[in-house]
Amino acid sequence: MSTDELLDILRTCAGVSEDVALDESVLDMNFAALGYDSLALLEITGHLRREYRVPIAEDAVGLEDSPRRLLTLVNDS
Amino acid sequence: MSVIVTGLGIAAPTGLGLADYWAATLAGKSGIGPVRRFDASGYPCSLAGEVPGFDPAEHLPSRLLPQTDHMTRLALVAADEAIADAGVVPAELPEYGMGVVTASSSGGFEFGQRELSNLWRKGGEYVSAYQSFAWFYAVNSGQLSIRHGLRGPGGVLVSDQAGGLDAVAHARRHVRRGTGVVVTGGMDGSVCPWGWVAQLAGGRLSTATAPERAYLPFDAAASGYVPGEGGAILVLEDADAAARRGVTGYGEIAGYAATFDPPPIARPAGVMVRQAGTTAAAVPAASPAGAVSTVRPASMAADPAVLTAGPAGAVKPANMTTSPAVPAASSGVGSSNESGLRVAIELALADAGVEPAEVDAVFADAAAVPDLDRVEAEAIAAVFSPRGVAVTAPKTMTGRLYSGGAPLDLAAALLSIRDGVLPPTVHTEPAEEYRLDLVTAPREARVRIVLVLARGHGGFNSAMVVRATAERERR
Repeated sequence: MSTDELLDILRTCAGVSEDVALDESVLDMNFAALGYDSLALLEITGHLRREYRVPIAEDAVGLEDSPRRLLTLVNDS
Repeated sequence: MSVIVTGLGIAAPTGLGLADYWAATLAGKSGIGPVRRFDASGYPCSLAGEVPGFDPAEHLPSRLLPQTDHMTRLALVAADEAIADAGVVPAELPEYGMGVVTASSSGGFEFGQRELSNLWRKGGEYVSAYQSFAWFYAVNSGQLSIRHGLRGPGGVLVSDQAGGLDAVAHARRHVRRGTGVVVTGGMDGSVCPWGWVAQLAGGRLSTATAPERAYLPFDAAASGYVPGEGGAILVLEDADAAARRGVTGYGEIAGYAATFDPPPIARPAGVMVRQAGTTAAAVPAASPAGAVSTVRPASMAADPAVLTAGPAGAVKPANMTTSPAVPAASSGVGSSNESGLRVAIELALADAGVEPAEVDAVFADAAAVPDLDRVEAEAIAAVFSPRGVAVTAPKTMTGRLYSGGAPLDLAAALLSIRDGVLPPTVHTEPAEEYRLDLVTAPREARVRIVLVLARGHGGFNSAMVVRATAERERR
């Protein structure tokens, strides 16, 4: 999965906070700083399981994790 | 303490936003037409009032879009307008200084239908995590609270169309108890197949296909109503506190009462009336309010006034903070033509300290079901004398909006006070037998005190009196 694909999934599943530009520059920020909450992460991991058949647990990433970590999990799975 | 409305926000079939809504309403431009949100051509009813030109992405942050139903988006946008209109900045208030109480009748049905469909067709893992709250009937209060940081009292009232007044009354209670600002009102919208069949099951929808012949309250040709989506959000404040920041507001929530007509099979007593939290009086029920319905009293806050709203047959929440004299008419055995609605009117006027002759206009519930129209017309004629008061139903332009209907009528009543003009009831040819002075074209008038009526399926009757702020000062 490419960075752009992942960012599209974030956009679709959880939207983008008003003060955030969702591009490569956010890859190492954590999800909380990007304005997401636990429910947003649930929706995102659910989408990855359904649409991409990624065997990823609901709690595989937390708010302190970064999009890069999620991307690594997806691509290593 | 006087509680006034300092902010209004509107999302209605006749216009998105206060200015558009009011201009269309005074022009008598109906927002009822063939359903656009889904293909309703195969259903017995195919007309609705839908909010025009609503692009949620234009108004709301994208974070909110995946997690909200259409009706919640309407509520969020209307609340933004209402709070800005009031000039209130929630962040500048004490942490628990602002609350929210909305009315609801169904919930996020369009969202819920989509997710239930996913569950049924594809399996549980296909259901959105946001389904956990997005279809919940209390979701609007929750989302408004989160968006604006409203950490004061929060709640939701469910009593069909009457709920719109019940919620505003409950917001008034919170202001009187010391919460500086309370956001209230109601917003509904179930124009989707699932919501549609639920509404059809109520048996009161018009099957007419011509928009101008479909919703004709107080007309001999009345044959049910057209449903719609939308409503209004109001900001309530203590008048003195508002005055200190130079705000006089649109008008005062001067009086309120609610009565309940028990379902015909539950025999005892009649209308239960609870006033001031202390006085309970029973009078016979004459209102054929209809079938038994499922009532879902709900509260996000543990509040005794809300919790008194029990299952069908129980006492409705009523005014807990004022103690007007209970009129003789409701203090014991009444005459057979004394409907619960009439009692609610009398109690609301008493709560406001207003005589019938002082009321400039009545915004009717306008069920457009002949038996219900008759009950309402008789109640109005009994209290105000035949043709004794101007009666109007601008909801003939929007359809019935369930929990959003009465807040929209309150907004219209307050704008009537502001502009000295009553909006029309469109398309209706008033039947002689109802003996109403029905406003069928915009009418210029000195409007200081208005009564708004709302009834909910299953026996809910609510009445609210709004009064010009200047009128309060004169007294």
